[in-house]
Amino acid sequence: MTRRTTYTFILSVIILFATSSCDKYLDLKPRDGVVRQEFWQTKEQVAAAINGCYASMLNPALAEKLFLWGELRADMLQLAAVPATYFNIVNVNIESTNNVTDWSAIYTTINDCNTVIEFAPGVLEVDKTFTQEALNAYIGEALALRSLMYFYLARSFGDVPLKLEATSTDKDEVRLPKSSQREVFEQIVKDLKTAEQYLPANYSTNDQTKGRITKFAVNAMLADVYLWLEDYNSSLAECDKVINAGRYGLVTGDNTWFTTIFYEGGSNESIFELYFHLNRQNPFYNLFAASNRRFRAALKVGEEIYTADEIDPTNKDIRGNGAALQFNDNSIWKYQGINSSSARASSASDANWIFYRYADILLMKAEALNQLGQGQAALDIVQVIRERANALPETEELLEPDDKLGIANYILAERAREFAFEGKRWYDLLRNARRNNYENLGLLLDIVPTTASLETQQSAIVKYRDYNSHYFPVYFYELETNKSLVQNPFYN
Amino acid sequence: MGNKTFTRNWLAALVGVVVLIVTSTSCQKEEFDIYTTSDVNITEYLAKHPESFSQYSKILAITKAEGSLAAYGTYTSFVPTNDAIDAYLRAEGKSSVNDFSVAELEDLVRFHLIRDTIPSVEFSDGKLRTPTMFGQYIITGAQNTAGSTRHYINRQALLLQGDIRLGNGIVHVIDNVLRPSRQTLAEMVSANPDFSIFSQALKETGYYDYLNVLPKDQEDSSKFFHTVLVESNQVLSAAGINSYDALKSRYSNTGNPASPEDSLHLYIGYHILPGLKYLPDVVKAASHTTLSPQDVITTKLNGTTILVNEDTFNGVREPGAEIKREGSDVTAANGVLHVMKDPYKIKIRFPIPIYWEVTDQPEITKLANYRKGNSPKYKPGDLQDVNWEMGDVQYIVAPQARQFYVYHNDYLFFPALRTNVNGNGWIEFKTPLLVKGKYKVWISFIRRKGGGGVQISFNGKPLPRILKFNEQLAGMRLVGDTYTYPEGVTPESLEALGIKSPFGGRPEPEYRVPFYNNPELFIEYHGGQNYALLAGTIDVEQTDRHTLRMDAVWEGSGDVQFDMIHFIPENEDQLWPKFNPDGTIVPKP
Repeated sequence: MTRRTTYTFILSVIILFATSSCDKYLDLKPRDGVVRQEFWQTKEQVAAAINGCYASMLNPALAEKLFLWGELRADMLQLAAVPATYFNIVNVNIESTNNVTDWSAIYTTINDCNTVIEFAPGVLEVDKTFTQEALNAYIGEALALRSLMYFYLARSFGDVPLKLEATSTDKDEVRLPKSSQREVFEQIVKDLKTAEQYLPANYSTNDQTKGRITKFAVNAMLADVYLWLEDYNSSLAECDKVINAGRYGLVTGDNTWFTTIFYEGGSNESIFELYFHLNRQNPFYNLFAASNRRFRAALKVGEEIYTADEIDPTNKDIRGNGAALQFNDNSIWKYQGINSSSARASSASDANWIFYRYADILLMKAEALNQLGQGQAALDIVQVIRERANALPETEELLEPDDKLGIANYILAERAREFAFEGKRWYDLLRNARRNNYENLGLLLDIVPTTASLETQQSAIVKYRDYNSHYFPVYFYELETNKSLVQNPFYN
Repeated sequence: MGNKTFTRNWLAALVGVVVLIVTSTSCQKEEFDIYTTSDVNITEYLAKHPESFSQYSKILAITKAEGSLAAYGTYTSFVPTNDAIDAYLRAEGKSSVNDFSVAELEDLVRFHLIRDTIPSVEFSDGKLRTPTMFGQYIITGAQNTAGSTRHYINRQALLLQGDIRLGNGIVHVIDNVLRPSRQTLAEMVSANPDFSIFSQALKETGYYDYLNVLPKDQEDSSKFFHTVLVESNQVLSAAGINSYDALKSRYSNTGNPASPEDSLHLYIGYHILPGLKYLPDVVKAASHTTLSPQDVITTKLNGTTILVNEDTFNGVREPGAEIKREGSDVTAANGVLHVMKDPYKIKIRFPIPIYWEVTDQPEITKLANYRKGNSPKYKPGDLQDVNWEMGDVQYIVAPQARQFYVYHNDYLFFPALRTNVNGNGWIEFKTPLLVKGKYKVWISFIRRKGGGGVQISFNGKPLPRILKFNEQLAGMRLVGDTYTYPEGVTPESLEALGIKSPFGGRPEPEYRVPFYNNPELFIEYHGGQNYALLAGTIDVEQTDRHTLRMDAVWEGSGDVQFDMIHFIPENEDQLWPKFNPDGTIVPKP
């Protein structure tokens, strides 16, 4: 009897443990997050999702990529303690294993936007307090952010996979081939046109108006895309929409100019910028300020781009010494300065990344006007920008209004002064070089002697003569995981 | 009883079965995929792709190279496709690879093989860093044909597919067979009618025979290769010289160009550089010795233009002569040929100061992480221009170097300099090129515990002072925001003692050196840590590279670390310029 009880007891214990120890596998829902079926129920969740899209852009890898893609191949950086991969880019020795060409951070944001675009409309049916108008505004933001990301990709890689649906389950296999650069640009225009209809002109607070996509941010992007499409009438029209709105103006070029635009952020001049903050800092301290900084300004930035008044050092281009850089040590100052002389603490590297500001609109308008044969009007705009900044006479050019190429180069030089280290230089050079079927290719060839190492100089020039080399290769990891992708032509 | 037993057994059996099920399923064996490497070596890779490489595989088989290329090693092999080899056979009038002699095929294989792994990302405008096993270097470049850009190899083939990484190296597939150069420099110059004046001058001066020796027939290995900067008839006629006679009457002062003292002999010698120098090598060094005994040429890259002898002397800019890129970099069996766009002639040079970083060694500057990371440890014999008795020498950079105020944040580390037989007792440096004249020699070093008594000698001649590399000078003093010389000590008073501070400089913000553990403060003197000592005055009798040797005359442990050696003409300023960690050079105010 005792033995039987013992057996029964052992048996019960074993059965108890064997069956109860692992019953959670029957519950398929994750315990550490919300599944899609439980999300997308209320308008607050849609708002949270769109905030997530912006938050994904605060990923330091993304801002770093936008900076590297826009500046590394151009002529304004001096490489200090950088990885060998950066030298390979400067020497036009770019391989698909070069991690600068890893685009995953950009596609992460694109997928976040796709998720909003795909699932937010469903919330209309569940949440009766959610209106069509509010939904449209969110969709507009997602469309515009996605377009902005594709705009960076298409300018950096040429042809890229155009993914417009969300990847939300494991079954969504990503086997997408590339679309041509032109198709991507056209999709961007189409999406931005839709977003323009949906978006408000402003939000309740200034930080939101500058830090979220507005109707005018969309106009700014459209103006830029049209310049790449060489559709100057449309670009001009978009610039005028922003100008005529009367909401933006140039910040006066006085002592507080730098602090207002680049330290405080969200200035009257700003149209759309990425707000970093103390809890989510930008990657620029390590790039420009740390003792093992990766970059300084190239020597020519001080000597040729801004120049200095030898007799009266206080008579200076306000955008140069103490703004874009410090002349004494060529450190890049734009993201580390509080004003022209004091620096941010290493723990407070939260300068915003400015995508578009009013000066950009004016200079894009000048570029469009010049191409449309209105050279004098273009020169007048450049003069406005120069006067605000107290540009020095050494950098002034006297040009005939019908000297289209001369004015285009003058605008390009002014853009270098105005937007130094704002991630625009390479794109400006490339856009001007490739206009009218690469009429001005020399712009890119002239970069090489000032940047590439002397052993690779000649090869680099030869490579730049091949237009396909102006775009990055697809990163090897993407090629391995997506068998539909083919490597970009130059890199085969 | 029987019933009870049954019940008990039944229960026992049940428990047993359940336990068995639970335990056996809980301990299911996991399936692991087991991988071994499937990397193939070069021979197997070629054999696996007979559609492209059967011909080259056959050549490897004939030459018995397939064995070594199937074993482990580090090779770079340029492999011509079957089409390339077929075209080569047609050009050579052969019907199959068997028609070549084994020796010919061996040469071919050797010329396509480098004992080093060189990926295409390291192809530059000049020669590859390691010669082929044939002995000649392969040059690379980029070429744009029919809208696509490819690397071209030795100006003979295009790279079809690069960087096939295999177990024992890298294969680069090329579309033509590479042919080594068979002509000597002398033959190459005289074969070109455009060079007839220069060619005749070579013959008259005797340099023709000098340049007509193949490396295999040359006994002196320093004379294997030469670089000739040839001036074409057109270039000479632009300078008013239309014939050899005109050249002779312009330059020959003795009337006998074959005499080494004749100035036409010197003129031609001045156009021949010892060593193999492709254009990137020409511009990488600022000056080169020539066969004209006491004269050097200087080179400079201006944008993309290479200029010879473009110099500023005493504030006067002397315009240089350009090297024509097209037609240059032509490989001969015993050197390389460049073509001048303008003529140049010998200049009378005066001694100029040489501020030499001892870290500027070819093996070190070749490192992929030069100035970015420490080098591997070198043993005696690893560096061609520095030698020492024993121990590991290392090239050190920031961050390890940051606490010292050394130029470019880098220095060379030696384990010891002592008389004990078990320690390193001497170091020998080959100096950079010094122009004939008298110089003061300053050793800029980091003060450590070692090297408490060192005798310096120049070309075997001892210099008068015994240097103490472990001596701690009077400490620095904080004045305002700058650490500076101690009370009562000036740079001039130190100079009189044979001491100077090689860094620091002027009060202007761009020339200040931040104090390493407080960037708010600055520094211009650190007698406790690094400074420079005067070794003595040397007399350089010939413009050349010389030997500077350090011998220990003191016993004690501790390492020694060197930053720079300054050779400053004795009547010039000895204190300026200053050399700072960030690479800035501070000129005299």
